[in-house]
Amino acid sequence: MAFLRKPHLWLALLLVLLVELALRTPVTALLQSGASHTGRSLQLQSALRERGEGINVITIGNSIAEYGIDHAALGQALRSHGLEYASLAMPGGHLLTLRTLTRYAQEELPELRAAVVVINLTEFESVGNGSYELAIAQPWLRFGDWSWTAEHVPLDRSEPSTLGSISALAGYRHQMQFLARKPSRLAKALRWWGWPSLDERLWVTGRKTEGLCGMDLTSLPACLDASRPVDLTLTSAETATATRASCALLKIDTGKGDWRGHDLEAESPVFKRMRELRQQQLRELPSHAPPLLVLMPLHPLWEQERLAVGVRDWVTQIHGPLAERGEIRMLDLSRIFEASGMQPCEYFGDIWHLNTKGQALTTAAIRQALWEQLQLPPE
Amino acid sequence: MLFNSWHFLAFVLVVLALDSLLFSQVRARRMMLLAASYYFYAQWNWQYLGLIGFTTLLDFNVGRKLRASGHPGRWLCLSLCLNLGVLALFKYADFVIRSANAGMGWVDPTWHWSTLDLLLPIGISFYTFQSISYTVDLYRGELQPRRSLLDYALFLGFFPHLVAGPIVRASEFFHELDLRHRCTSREGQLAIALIVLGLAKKMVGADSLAEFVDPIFAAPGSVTPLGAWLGMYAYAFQIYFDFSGYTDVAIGLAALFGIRFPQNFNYPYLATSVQEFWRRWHMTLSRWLRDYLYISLGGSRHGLTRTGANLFLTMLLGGLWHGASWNFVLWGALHGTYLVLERAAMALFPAFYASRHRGVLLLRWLLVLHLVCFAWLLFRSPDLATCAQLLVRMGELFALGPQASSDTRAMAGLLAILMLLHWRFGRSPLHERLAAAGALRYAGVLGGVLLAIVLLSPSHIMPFIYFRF
Repeated sequence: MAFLRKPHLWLALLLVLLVELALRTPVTALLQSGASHTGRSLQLQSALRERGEGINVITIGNSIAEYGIDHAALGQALRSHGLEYASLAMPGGHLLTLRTLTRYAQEELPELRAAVVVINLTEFESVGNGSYELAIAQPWLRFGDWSWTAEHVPLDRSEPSTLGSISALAGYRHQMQFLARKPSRLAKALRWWGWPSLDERLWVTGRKTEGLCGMDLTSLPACLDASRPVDLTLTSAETATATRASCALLKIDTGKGDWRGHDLEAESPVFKRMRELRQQQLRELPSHAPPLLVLMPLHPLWEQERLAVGVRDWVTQIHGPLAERGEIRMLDLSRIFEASGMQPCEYFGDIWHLNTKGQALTTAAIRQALWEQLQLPPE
Repeated sequence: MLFNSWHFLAFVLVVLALDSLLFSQVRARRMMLLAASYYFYAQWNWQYLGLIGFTTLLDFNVGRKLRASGHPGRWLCLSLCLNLGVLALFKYADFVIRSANAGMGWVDPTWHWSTLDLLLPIGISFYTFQSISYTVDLYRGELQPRRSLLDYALFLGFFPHLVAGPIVRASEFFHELDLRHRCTSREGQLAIALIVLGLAKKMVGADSLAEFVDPIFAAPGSVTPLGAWLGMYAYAFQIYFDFSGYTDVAIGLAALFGIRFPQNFNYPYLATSVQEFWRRWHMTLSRWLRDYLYISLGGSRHGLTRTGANLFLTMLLGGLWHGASWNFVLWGALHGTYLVLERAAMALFPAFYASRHRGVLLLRWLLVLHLVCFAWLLFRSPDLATCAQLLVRMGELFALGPQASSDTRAMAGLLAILMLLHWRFGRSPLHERLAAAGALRYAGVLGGVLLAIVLLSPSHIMPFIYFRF
């Protein structure tokens, strides 16, 4: 193998290694783009760097948190009390994201006074969200993290994205493919002077103004039936199409699980690990006040068609002991709309996310609880 | 074990290291290469190693008897019958049974033969054709029988070409083996460039295009007319990248072991005649069909009609070689028809086909490209109904207009760029330019291609299309 004595191949491999190393430096901020998982993560990371250490309140969660809270209004209100707020909610975020953000908060946010952790019942069936959560966590990972990232996203030789645990190149695959599909996105991401303002990047709020009352969502077959009429005065055709596509994802061939009467931790080590990790992350959040854990409402179709029966008890089993010891404070908003007398279709913008009407109600409830946590004068 | 898997990378590195250690010990080296090749095949299905063993023993022994006996024709017949019999049993038996059931169902609705449901041995079409070429070459007196069973087993089983070619003639392989050539640094650079570019063609090119193509062939009714056209062009590039990518890796791997394989692709979409297309596409199969089927049928020695019939039959069987389905038969028949009509057109309009005028060449190129692409529709469609549905959708383009979405515009742009690159590198292949380049340029391009593979290949590793044949 005489060619190995020549520098050609080694230099090519060195180039690959250099790019691997470069992707672990702040230069990756140039690839930020709010529309992709990694891009959003990079956007948030660069905004946090810009804001510095003076952040006092954060929210951690996934897109349900992004759409479920009016972060801009919350940020403005907190600023009027001299507190700085940042939403660390990122679509697709799960336990791995919580873990990386907890470490970030421990090391970079010494003035953190309160943390809102937004959860929903669908998160408690696994310890990770698949390889694309690695794409979210990637900008926050370091050498050596592979020992614990694999707990959330196991290495799978047949799926290159799972190698994101050990390689930044693999971790940035989602982002590169996203940018490669439409080069205009890359051009937009690289235009640093066109990035949103710092507040906009730290208070990203999802807004859906429509409701779903124009279509029949009483069951999955009703949702999937494209021949059923849609009242376009209440729900647009685009929303109806998107909702049907979402309903298709709810279908499971194996049927719903039933966890009632099961000792989940004894039956599967995954559940034991899930409880341990959840409790550990919540305990490690370095806020002065105990973290405020918010259980968000879920569209009834989820509970009816997809969620395992008994998942609510499992969530209580994980968080109950922490709440009893005062290590967290729980705010259960999962039934908030039943109390208000509204129909589910009025406050959901799709079967995952709240619309602005629902968002206003949950934001008010969270705000009240947060003000108590921070001992701010009631509004 | 796929060429584009981590397992294969580790396997190749170990085999290369052993090859380097054992290079001076001829027998030990060949035994190691054979053992590695059989290990490679056994990773897919160890039981079917017996089938390779059967073919190896059969044709090695036929080869020894054929020249020594007074009835070489009988020995050749035995070899052909057994080789094609095994191929027919594993590849075509169920196709015949299903076709018989469908045909007889019209006469007698209760008629039903059970299918055999045998697993198709991977690579059987390739190594069977290679083995047949050995006995036919012996029969024709173009080759001396090989004395070493080990060498013959290595000829059939050598892992770089075991599962999907190139189809190497025995004389070529034994010549290379006997040279005991050690890969030079220049050849090594060329081989590595071929392997990396081949993997990029497969993992970035073919697999990414598959994400666009697969939904179109899965639901042809919901695709727009422009989407159907783009799906056809995209599949043309997908299959080219897939198969030529595999071949590049195979040729590069063999080169690392000091064995040169024949070229299998030469930028086929630059062809300006269908005949030229077949001289550029799967060249080793075209050569095999020409040398062992077309010429055996009489070639072009018996007048225009007989030549046309021979061409048609050769392509029909070439189509059937690809797989046991009516789609492949019709695909072969369509190419046979193209070739026959082209011959007639060449006779009728010699000036048009002899012209080197750019406008004429462009016209011929466009015509051939579209003839080939339309034939790919048959090749890719899961059934004839899907193919017909897509053709109807494509026809609607002229009535409804392009209706381009941002995705279809992006795909149209990508395909145009791919065609330009095809044309550019057809004049001067990238791997050859790379091998001649200095260290920095070589490393820059190769590193860039490696990065493209790591960053841009789709998430799931997909098997090569030609592994099915």
